[in-house]
Amino acid sequence: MSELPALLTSTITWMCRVAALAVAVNALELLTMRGALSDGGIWRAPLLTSSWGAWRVLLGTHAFTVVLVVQLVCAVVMAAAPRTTLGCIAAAALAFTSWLSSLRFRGNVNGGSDAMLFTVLGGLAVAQLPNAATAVHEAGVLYVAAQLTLSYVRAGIVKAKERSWWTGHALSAFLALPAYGIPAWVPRRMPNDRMPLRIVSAGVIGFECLAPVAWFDPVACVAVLTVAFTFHAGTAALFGLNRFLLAWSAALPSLWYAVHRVA
Amino acid sequence: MTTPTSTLLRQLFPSWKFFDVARLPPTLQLRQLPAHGEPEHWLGVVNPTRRRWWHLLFNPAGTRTLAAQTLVERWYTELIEFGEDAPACRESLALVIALAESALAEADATAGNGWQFRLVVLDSDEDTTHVVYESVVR
Repeated sequence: MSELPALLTSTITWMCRVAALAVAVNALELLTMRGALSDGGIWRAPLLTSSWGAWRVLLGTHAFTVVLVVQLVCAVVMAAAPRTTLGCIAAAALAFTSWLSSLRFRGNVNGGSDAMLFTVLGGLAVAQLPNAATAVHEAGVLYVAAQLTLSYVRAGIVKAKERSWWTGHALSAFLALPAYGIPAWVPRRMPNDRMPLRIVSAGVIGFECLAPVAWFDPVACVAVLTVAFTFHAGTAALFGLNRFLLAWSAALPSLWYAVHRVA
Repeated sequence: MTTPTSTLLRQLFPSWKFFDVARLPPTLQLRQLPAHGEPEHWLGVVNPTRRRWWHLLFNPAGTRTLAAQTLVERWYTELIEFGEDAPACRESLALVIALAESALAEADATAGNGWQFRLVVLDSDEDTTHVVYESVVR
């Protein structure tokens, strides 16, 4: 128990730095692809303003560019000053700009990675609240750990209920989808030998459903963290889901704190 | 319809349900209709980008592609669940048309007799194509 305050401090610091990297990458990516948000682009403002409400003043082409630059500045502040009042304000501001980005894209930019990053930033804002009790800071970190675990379990249960995941059919369909840009060395269709796809699918379902064991034993936690990072790095390499790798990497240290708090 | 509140609620209480596995993912295709002769083949609108090692961390083109695919999948879900006359579905359709126009512009395509797009579900295992929606000639 005596090591917990130091562990909480280092956990918050690491989460701040990785989350800062994630939001900085998100901002730079959107700045790079801002042509798609311009008046001649796919996500042109006139097609979307009805869903923006009063926030349209921040979501027009030029205003949103300013929002992204502010996001970059806040990311630098959070990485440079974790566990300070400034870090707390930066985390809250980043949660706000992440929400604005989702709104700009009519709900989400990149699926679940938006929600995970928002969860991490919200948790970090609470975990850095000035003049708050340690229990409040802990609550911020444990909230992220709980959502992280839930994200695996929920996804695992959804897959486990579907026969197509057990047969490898679902994974085959995702590998064949052009949008994911699966590298050429990965076989996309295996009509004659579905076994490798079945094994990978069953492995993912097993890992996701067993993720809660990480809360109860440090060795199991190390195993879950290792498999989780490998899994996200794999999906980033195969499916191009780099935002998932960064968002979940920012959340993973919270699980290490959780196991020391609970076990 | 998406609102600021619904977007916030989705982020505060995420479902963590990443795949709508009951359905195979849809594909958006378009074809040009030349002034003379047969229509061209249907081509995919959301196409993969070349993968580099640094895309593991920074992948703007990939993020744009995935956002475009998310748009197509959302339109597909709305078409099935609400029908094409629903306001949300019409909003998605307008974005999908912008996506198709953007693909035509990138391909530097000539107008000819116009173009069409369609939403299909490709079942690679059964080697079948289910057409969900086919636009009028534009």
